Amino acid sequence: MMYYDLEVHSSLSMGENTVEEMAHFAKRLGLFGIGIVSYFPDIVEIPKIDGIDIVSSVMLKPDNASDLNSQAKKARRKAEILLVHGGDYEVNRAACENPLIDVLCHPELGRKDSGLDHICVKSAHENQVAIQVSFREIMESYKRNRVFILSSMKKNVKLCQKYDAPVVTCSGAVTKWGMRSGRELSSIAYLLGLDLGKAILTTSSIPQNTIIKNRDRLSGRIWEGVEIEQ
Amino acid sequence: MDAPKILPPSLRSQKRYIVFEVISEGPVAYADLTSAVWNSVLFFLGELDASSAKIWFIHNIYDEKAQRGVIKCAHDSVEHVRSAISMVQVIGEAKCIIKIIGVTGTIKSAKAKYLAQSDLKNFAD
Repeated sequence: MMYYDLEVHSSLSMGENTVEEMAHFAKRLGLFGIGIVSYFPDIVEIPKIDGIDIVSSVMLKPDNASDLNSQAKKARRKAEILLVHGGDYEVNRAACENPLIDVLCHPELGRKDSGLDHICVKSAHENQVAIQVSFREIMESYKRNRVFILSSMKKNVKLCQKYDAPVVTCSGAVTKWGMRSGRELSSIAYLLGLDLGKAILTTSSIPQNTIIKNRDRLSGRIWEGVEIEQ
Repeated sequence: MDAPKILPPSLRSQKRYIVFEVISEGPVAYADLTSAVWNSVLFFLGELDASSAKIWFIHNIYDEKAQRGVIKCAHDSVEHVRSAISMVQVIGEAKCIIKIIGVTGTIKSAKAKYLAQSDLKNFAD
């Protein structure tokens, strides 16, 4: 099974360790690929490393919906994976309604509710925007806070199951000690209410298919409505 | 007779053996490892789920050099235990990750597949 972790922070963004250290550790954990995050507009060329698939993930941190759309158009030309820093309902909804976006990260961040409703999740299904389950958010919270976060995530996962919207599980690691193997990440998705098979897909084929599709787009094999077959 | 008889196999609860490896900054004491895992299980799953997980550390097959060991649990609680174990960040004073290498149905297969401890009786085969 090829496991991916689409949100890993290195020293290029807010992480402590270098890309090489993160990649070495990810290999040891059995991950097939990791998404190294850089924040828009500082998109950095990420070096390729043998034995692991390094994906360039770009995180957008917009102030409002219109800001999100303009940032997404610019970043899409370079990013293999486009992540949106969620938390604000307006931004969450705009991200779900934008087909350029790949993953909406932690929609429940800093909120008392889950940050998503049925309208957002329906749009996420139509535009194939994945809703993220963030392992770091669970691990770094404590007692009552963790309970609230878990219940919000459960609610979002339930909505995603109902409307068949994609879910991805990421570690969101800021140090190499925050990373986890793909199977352990997917066990969190299972506990949040997904079936075991679907939970495993959240760290394997869902991120993998998104990466393949975006790489084809960037290399010019896919345009809107056209795909070149070789 | 001061103890109940052992139940017949059909009445015994099914179990699984989780083989793990500790990846850490420095060496980790076994006592610190067990207390870190128990704390994590109790915090994350709570007392009720921890009781139904029936967690048991198998001390005698812990490999201190490779930092590999086995935890026994109920067959329907493997994912719960897996996620609770993944919440462990620090053992003693060392930063660490507990990586799960595999899950088996018997201790024998756990030893043979993941701990590289084979039975000398079968050595010639």
